[in-house]
Amino acid sequence: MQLRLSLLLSGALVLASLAHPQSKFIGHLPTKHYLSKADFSPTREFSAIFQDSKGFMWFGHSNGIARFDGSRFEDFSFSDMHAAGTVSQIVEGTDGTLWLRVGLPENGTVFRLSRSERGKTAELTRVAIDSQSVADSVGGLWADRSGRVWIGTKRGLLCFTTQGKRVFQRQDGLLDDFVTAIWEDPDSTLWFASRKGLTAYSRGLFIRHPHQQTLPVDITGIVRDQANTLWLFGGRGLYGQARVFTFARDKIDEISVGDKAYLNKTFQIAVDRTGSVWLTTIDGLYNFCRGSFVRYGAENGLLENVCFSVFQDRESTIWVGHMSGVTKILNRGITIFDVQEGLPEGPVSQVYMDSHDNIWLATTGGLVRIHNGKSILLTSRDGLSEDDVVDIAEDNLGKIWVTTAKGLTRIAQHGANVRVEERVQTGLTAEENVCFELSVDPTGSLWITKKAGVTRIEIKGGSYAVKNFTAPGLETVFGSSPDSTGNQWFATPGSGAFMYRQGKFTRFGLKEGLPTESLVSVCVDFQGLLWFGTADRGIFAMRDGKVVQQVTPDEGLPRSWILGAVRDRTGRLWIGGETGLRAIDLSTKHIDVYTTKHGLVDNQMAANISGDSLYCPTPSGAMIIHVNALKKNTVPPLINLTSVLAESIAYSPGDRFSVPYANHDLTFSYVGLSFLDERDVRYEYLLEGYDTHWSPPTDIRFAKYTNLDAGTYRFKVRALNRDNVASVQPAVVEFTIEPPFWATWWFRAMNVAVLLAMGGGGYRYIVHRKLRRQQTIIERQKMMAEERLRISQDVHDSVGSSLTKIALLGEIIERATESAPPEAKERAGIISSTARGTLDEINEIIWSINPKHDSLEGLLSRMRSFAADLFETKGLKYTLGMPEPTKGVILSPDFRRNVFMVFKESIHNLVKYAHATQAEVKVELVDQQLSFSVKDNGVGFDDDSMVRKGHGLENMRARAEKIGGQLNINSEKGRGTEVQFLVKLQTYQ
Amino acid sequence: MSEAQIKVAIVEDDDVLREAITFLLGSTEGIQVVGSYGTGEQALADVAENPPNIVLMDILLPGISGIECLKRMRQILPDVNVVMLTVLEENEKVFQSLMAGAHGYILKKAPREKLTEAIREVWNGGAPMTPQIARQVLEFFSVLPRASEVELLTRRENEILDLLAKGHTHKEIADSLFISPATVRTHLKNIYEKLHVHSRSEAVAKLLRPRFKGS
Repeated sequence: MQLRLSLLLSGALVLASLAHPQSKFIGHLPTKHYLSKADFSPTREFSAIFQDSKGFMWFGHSNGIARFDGSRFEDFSFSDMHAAGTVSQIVEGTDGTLWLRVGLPENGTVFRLSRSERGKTAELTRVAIDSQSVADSVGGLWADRSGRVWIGTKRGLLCFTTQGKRVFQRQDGLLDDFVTAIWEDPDSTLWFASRKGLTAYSRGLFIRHPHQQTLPVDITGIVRDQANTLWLFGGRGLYGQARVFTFARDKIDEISVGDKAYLNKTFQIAVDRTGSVWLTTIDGLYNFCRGSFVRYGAENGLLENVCFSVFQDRESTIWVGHMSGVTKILNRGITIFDVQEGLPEGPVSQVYMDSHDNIWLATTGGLVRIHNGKSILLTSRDGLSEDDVVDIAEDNLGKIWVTTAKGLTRIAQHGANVRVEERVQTGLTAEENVCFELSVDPTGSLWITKKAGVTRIEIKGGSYAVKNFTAPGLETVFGSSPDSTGNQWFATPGSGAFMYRQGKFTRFGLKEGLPTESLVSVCVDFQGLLWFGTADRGIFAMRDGKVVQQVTPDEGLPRSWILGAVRDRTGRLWIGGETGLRAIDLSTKHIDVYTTKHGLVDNQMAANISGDSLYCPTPSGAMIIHVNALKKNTVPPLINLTSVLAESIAYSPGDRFSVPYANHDLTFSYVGLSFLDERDVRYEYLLEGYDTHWSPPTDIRFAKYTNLDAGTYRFKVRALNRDNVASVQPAVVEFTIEPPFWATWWFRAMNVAVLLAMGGGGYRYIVHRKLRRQQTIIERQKMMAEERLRISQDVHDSVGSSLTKIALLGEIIERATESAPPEAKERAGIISSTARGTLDEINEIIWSINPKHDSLEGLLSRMRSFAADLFETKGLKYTLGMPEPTKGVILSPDFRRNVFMVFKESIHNLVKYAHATQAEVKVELVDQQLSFSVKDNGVGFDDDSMVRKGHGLENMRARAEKIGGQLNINSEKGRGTEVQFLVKLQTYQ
Repeated sequence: MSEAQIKVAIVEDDDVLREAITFLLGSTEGIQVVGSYGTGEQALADVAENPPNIVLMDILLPGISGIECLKRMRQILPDVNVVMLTVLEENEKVFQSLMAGAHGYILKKAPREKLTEAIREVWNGGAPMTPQIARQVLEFFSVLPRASEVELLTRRENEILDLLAKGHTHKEIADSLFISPATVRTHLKNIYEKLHVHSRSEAVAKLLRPRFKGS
């Protein structure tokens, strides 16, 4: 047994760390929230999170489970409503069946969802345990590696295999009938927990590890940490007090958690891939890491403090289930500071950690200090020369200095107290005094770069001497840094670099290999190299006054400002700039780019380094990044074919199938699963037998092939994750397109006979002519579409404008000309309403000829919206039934326009003449036929009278006839009216 | 005159139309016309003197286009709401201008009541959207490169857009999703905001070089 370990030690550690659970962790992590109602359907208590073998994420909650494929959540709910309870555990059998534990021991139940049921039903079925009852009083649930599913019930331990079901009880070797938790160790030994202790099961043998007395609670979770200690976790009821035990040397010991309130309400225990233990509690998520607990709460980026479940997915991302949603923690090595931490809105220009581990942030709204998890804001009201703080540095005496556009301020801190001590007079005009960077040299003097020269502040035992320097060419100075020998360096955007030594400035430029224009930053690395960043030329490294290395935009650096090039202890060079954070391996010049996709708060940043942390101010907040936290996602995404459609017939992507020639348009839908950035999954596909190359990467989740010839094909698709790592195995489906009748052997044989008779040339001629005809048709259609657009633009510009003027001028006369006689006003009103009506019609015509609106969906939407708007304004009660159209059906313009006009007229008549209170509209699509009925409970009419009155009925009939539709109008006086219309869809080739 | 006047400026190159709209709005209670400009250039030069709450902006302007003017206007007056003026709904530029930061559009021919209603709705935080626009918004988000920094739509926002695109009215959407019409409006407003992010990235770029603000 490998469980031998120093229990005493680990127990002591736990106790020590529990005494101070509140870590000094401040700032928040990059997280993404998925919310009940907004993302999920309305539900609560996300108590189980699981990723299945195909890569889908599953979330267990109070109504069932939801599956997330990276773009949408699909719900599966309980089949019977009596199963009230929350899904608290999800496991997957080797056949892909999901088993769910619902509720808690004492009254738990098991539900099942088999792979074949998905897609057919959205309901979960309860698992029958024996002939009388379903699985009640379920405790432990486990699917082991050999394909067995274990369920602990009060009547014994059930084991489901492909052969059937077996029950194990005390007489078979278990310590107790009721197993409340199960876990399988890497050696495939199964561990069963009950009140009486642990039973291990391996190769058909039960080994009992009884506890001296009965355990006080039901064990609900077992995990093993990196030190090989088994942690047993149990509680009474969902909100009951939790108890933690360890098992080693054949002994179970309780770890006293005493009166620690946060552990009193603990829900789940889990272990991540590094073997570190996680606890979910009512007051946050706790991670036992290097001997102490780190707490994560809402202030650190979690959705809520209440955490029910925690799960690590195959890409090592941590997911946390809360009361009303789920948090995904994108990167635990990035800490973000922004408005959430009390920073004023707006860009942060510096983030700085002082010698007391306080964090200082320079913002446009003041200076922020974060001390012991609390933030304080200092502004001009507290004595700063201006709110807009530019840079921060600490001198050798522990004073904090900040620069603003108006000068320099010294700040003293004592514990929690901070105060502005003094504003330093530099003796320059306000214009010359604009300060940029602040740096401290090894003697403790401060250097400030400015719009005009540099200033040095020498600190001598509490007092200071200010000296302004100028030198030829030393005008605007941006970056500043001391080198390893104590010289101070300056980067200027106009005249190269300057070095200050013993009262003298030396200039470095083209002669030394350094550009004289566009230097914007300078930093020194651990090897004494000076790294200069430029505005558009990459970076230059200098040693002993000579450029010894450079990386140019041609080698992959951006042609934009480089705000800090710093090296970490491993020698990697980190570059902050306008388009992400870059890491360069200087030996190979390989560049990795990290952006908001990797959890950064912004893509524009400066960069400084201290120890293993990068300090990056950005326009949207500041970040502290552990240099090992940024990694490429090397886990290949899993890919699943979700459906294959031939015309409207679905084929199972799992099987080989064959399609009749008539349906030779195929659509393949697929989904790739990577949750580090699910929005950034892309796809490449290849149809063997048709394509010669993989498609370029696309984010569209389906591929469509039309007019496939008869033959055998293989469709392959693979996914790429955000860092371009492709699926190991593409998803593949094979199929055959059956030959059409004219390609069958008997038809061919007949053809051969005919061709022999008329000579081979004739056949070739026919084929050639067919091709040419197709080309001409396509060209003509393209020209027509262009023409349509041109006409609509012309109408818009000329006629539309003029009519608008007529409408508005008419309105002015109607409303605002006091002196005009009433009849004249009335006529002016008619002028403007006529003009408006004409504009409506023009709009209608342009709508119908714009090829963008050619789709059937567009027509249906317009019909629906027209009717609903009109009914709503007129206050009619109505029902509107619309079909779900297949996407991409393109209608001929004439057809669309006429259908819409007939529909519009029917609705108009209803609203205007029927005096109805209720309307019922139903549009249907059956077998390429479009039909609608418009029914009301109004006054009705005799056909004759209406025609005479000219309510557009004749017009409707004419339009219906034009597109070969059938129009029926049934009405009787006092009994309402029903307009029925039926027409065959006229699609566009 | 009450204090809660909505200040409106008009940018329209056609003299007759500009004067007509100015006249009609000028005689409307609760609305004060603070500017009336014949070109985008003129509007940008003078708008800060008497800043409006809402700008009615012609889509087709000579010189700098209405869309360009809208973008620059939002840099000068970040809080201003711009409503585009168009002759006909069927105009590709309508959607482009919504992308660039407009909060809606109105037909120039609209009678005074409709015009003022639209102004008031935008002023009260509304964001009117038609089925055609909803469909274009959905399309826009569906073809976005995943690497883009544009925030994608939430599931609820997608639902609302989908219903809208299918021709459902705001009231119907509110009823079928069991939310209030005000919530629908808020969602639509957020959708507009997400569209605007696209154009705002330019503005964000200008925020860079925080350490070199003086340069």
